[in-house]
Amino acid sequence: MRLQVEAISAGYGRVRVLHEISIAVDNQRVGLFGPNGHGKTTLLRTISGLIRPTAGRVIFDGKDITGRSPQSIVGEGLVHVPQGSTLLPRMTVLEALTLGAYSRRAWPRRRATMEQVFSLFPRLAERRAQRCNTLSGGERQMAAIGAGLMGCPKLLMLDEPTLGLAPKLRAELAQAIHAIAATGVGLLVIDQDIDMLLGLCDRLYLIEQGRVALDVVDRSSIQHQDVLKRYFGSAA
Amino acid sequence: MLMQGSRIETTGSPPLLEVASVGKSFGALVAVADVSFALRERDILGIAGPNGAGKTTLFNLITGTPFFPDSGRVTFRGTRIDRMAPHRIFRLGLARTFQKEASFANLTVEQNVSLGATYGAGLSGRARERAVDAALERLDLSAMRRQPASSLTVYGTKRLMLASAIVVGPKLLMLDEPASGLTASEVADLQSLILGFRDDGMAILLIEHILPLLFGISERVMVMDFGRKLIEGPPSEVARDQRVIDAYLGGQSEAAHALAG
Repeated sequence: MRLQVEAISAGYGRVRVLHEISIAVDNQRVGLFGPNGHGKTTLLRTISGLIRPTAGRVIFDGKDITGRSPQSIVGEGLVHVPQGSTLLPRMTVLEALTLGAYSRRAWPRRRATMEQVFSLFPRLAERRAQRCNTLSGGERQMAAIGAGLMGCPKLLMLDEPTLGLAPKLRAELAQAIHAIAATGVGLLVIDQDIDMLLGLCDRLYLIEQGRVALDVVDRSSIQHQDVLKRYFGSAA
Repeated sequence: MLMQGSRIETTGSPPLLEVASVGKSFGALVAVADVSFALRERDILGIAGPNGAGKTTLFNLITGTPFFPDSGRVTFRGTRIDRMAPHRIFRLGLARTFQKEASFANLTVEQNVSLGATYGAGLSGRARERAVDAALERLDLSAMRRQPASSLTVYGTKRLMLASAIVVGPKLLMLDEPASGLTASEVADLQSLILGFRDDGMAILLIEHILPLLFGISERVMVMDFGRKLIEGPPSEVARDQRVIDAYLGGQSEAAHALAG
């Protein structure tokens, strides 16, 4: 098992957001979905060490990483690309990507990794000398994911990668994420684009009120059809 | 070269909003070029196009925030507004929301809406209270009125932006990607809210990438690419246009056809 989240509780101040939540990510692509404000992002932030849980454990590659610093967790190969544009605006694309390789694991391989990122996102190669604040929304999203890949992740966590993207670009990005997964990188993805999640993931967790409300493993099951009806209306 | 300005018809009542050949450049970058369209009362016009096509810049040119057009005219309710201060445009009856959820995080939900009523409509006293109550009720925010705005979810914050916009009773509501980041059921809820605003007499300009909303409620859709107007027409026609498929819809063109009917 690559990532195991065991009965994690976490929140902000006195507000508890996650209630003894458990999820598992093996060599697979896992999607998190559900209403906004129910803890999906908080779960990713807790896994990546940005929030310290009040109870429970996070096990990654057999190691207990609970309470460790974000940089040491990135060093293990667990990389989190947060929602929205978090790139430093005045940095060039090249600088932003290079910064993504700043862990001990990733640094020696940075040139080869960057070639891979450029072949995945040719647009970034064209824009490499451009400052991040001059990129379009789609290019910024590619740069953020590219910077995540520069950390040589074993598991990549993406928080709403298709947010605000035009349909065509959304489809292109979904393809790129498929290609990333095909190289053996595990994926844990939050998105509201259900068609994308269905096309990408082998396993879906419905997160409601800080808990796993449903764990959908078999996509052809009746349970799966039921989920589609309940949460996505007529989708798929 | 299309004479896009000539497409504005002059039959019947004059349009609520008339945008005539507006343009804006930033240095060598042409953000918006020669865009014209007209909107009548209770119209819903969807605006689509690739990221970076100039949609939000077009909104900025219409509202004079944070810049005016280099060229062209914008007329709202018979008054030229293309050099008018944003607060005066607002008081003429034009309100907008922004792509990024924005609110005064440390103020309560009620105080946020009250600010809109005070500065947007010049209301005070009982009239302001009534307007704020009605807007909160309309957006299902009454129960949260004393909470800080920062405690709202994504959709809550979006509803707060809408409440702050409609509290002034606008004739035109401009929405910039209201559905981004929302779940399917929230999008459905938003859709009925927007249709309700239209039924109350507002015209709607809607920038949106979420196709069920864009094609679900727009009477016409305008697609922009590289700062220019590519096409404007009924959703069914736009969804079938090869240029729109190439530039914007890509692999999602079939979904768009189904939604556009």
